[in-house]
Amino acid sequence: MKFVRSLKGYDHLWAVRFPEKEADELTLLFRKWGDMNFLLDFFRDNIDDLQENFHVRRVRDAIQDTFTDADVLEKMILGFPFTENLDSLFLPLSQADDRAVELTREKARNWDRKRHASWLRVYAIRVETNVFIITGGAIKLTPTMQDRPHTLEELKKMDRCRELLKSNGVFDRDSFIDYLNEEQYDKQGNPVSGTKPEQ
Amino acid sequence: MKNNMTSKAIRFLEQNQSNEPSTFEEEARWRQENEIWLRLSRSVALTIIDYMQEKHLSRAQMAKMLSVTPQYLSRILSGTENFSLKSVAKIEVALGVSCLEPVFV
Repeated sequence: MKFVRSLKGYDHLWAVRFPEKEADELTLLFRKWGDMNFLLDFFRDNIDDLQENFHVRRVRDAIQDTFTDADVLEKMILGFPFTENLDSLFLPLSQADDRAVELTREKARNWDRKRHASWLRVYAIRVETNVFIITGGAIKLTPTMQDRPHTLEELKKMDRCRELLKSNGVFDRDSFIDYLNEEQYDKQGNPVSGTKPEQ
Repeated sequence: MKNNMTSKAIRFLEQNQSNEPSTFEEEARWRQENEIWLRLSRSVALTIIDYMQEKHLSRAQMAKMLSVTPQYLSRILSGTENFSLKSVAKIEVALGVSCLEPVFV
């Protein structure tokens, strides 16, 4: 596993580069999200999750919303050099990570998505204040990452990266992040769907 | 030589940097600069996808209906095909619907 700077000349955003793949994870992610052939197959394969969890019936609408959200995320990432506080964009992935004092799995998403919650996720590990390593991303149509193989795979990639960093002593002991509630949680702390029916 | 302000994390990342730099920024800027015509190209592909879902058509069936090869349909569905007006007209006639959405609403 190697690493690449995502934006030339800046130290704050990196991406994982697996030797067996043709590009780094961030580059591959946005290629995939811009490829309608991939999106058509993906939403056809996951049509039940799309319809049941997001109430989106047409594959066309799902692809269109993916393009819209990917575009917003891409612009956010390109704008990162001008954003001092990346910590406000990446939020803790889970309550478990909120308690962690080492590396934290994080995610970025388009927070202003209208109509339904965004299903796009960029996953990253925060190595220190305002320094992130992107490990991948996913179209997440289910409440937890363990629910589907493609999101579970992303979880494993994050863990692989985190383990590598931990074994090399790369983490920030002081980087405690206040828990910010992205998903809706019930009183027992279980995640509930944050989606709303399509208007 | 990095100055003393470089953190341990950054030093580790630099030491383990890939020889092949990221092309994300370059590709993202290309997408942003070509946003308008890409949107038009995508609107053609989305119209076809909608039609396929409505009529329960496979890619092979759709290609046959449009009288194009499966390879060319795949190019159309990539959302980055720079169509000629003649090609768009052919698709519109085959589907019986307009493909191009207005760029400025």
